[in-house]
Amino acid sequence: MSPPRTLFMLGKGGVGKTTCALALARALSSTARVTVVSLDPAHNLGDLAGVPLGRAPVTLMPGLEACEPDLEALSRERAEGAVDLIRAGYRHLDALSLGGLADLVQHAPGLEEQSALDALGAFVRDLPPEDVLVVDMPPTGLSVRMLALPALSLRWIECLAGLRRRIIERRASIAHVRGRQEQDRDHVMDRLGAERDGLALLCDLFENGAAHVLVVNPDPLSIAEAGRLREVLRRLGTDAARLVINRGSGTHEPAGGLADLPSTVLPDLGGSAREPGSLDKLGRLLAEELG
Amino acid sequence: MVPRSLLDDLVAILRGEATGALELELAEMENLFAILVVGSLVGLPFPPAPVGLSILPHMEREVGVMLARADGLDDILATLIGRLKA
Ligand SMILES: Nc1ncnc2c1ncn2[C@@H]1O[C@H](COP(=O)(O)OP(=O)(O)O)[C@@H](O)[C@H]1O
Ligand SMILES: [Mg+2]
Repeated sequence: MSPPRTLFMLGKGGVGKTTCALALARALSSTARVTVVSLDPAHNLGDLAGVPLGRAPVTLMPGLEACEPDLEALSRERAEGAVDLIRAGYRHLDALSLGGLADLVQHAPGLEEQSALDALGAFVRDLPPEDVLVVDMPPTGLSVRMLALPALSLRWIECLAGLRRRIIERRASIAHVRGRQEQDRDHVMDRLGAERDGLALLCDLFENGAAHVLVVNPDPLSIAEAGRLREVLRRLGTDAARLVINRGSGTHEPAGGLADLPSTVLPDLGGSAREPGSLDKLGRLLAEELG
Repeated sequence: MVPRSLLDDLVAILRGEATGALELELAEMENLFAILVVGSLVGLPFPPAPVGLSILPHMEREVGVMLARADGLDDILATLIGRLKA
């Protein structure tokens, strides 16, 4: 099945990704079923929505669901799940020597990114194509690694699966010579296949399916970060769909490296930006072009 | 009586062979150590941790082979050192 229509809100911390994600999601929910997911470890979608959010989607208003999975808890579960399987499956291993392994593995580079991908993948798989998925992305560094991980992992999986195939063949021929039977299911190969399917879905979404929205403020630092994100998107073979200049005056000069992107300027709403009326105003402006 | 110098030569040759084998193992370990330390810096590829974590639970056999190799390395060294001492 095709994935839902997906929009990623990307940019430097504090530029207004969460605000734009919720504002856009609210606006789009008048015409479609919308899910807004925050993958930002800063957890402020729930604060902004005024509702405590977690892993399971919560209905914010008719047609709009929101969730904010805890990436640290997800990494922890992934690490513990693997260590439990090792404990159960490695017959000759001293169970005690595995104590503390989950702590180490949980913080291994890539785990947090993979947890964010897992959370995202569940929605991409389960939501119907007529639904809209708005993703409030983490700050630039984590976003970049998250966007790059599926393609990198896929290349590795291809390579490992190729080597694995040769190992399986060699084992089979040795077993044949000895007149024995090799077990016919190879769990490593099964796992590689399952990971490949999940990652291929996300790779395709990042590279072909989704709209990447770069959010900036009219300041050089946030614009530089958006430029960096655009570079990463291009290396993935795609590009940003739109530039949102949040808290812009409308008289700013075109941003370096981003000037050719279609842009939407959102006004600075001062201290009232978090109020529903303000979110609706920002949402209408965003939905005009992204609806 | 065996001439003193011949005995010395023989010991030197045996020592040389033993250290030759030792040096080979040492080089292997130094190589491995260097790969572990600088591999990722010079672009020696390692799969992303989540990929490894996903298949590791099903690699009891391969990890067994790896550990046996590591143990074997120690055994070879121990044997050689034992011979040299004797
Ligand atoms: N258009 C705006 N006008 C005024 N304040 C805004 C506007 N957009 C965002 N803000 C405020 O800026 C702060 C950061 O916004 P947020 O959406 O949390 O950024 P991010 O998710 O990118 O870190 C919040 O306090 C938010 O209320
Ligand atoms: Mg945020």
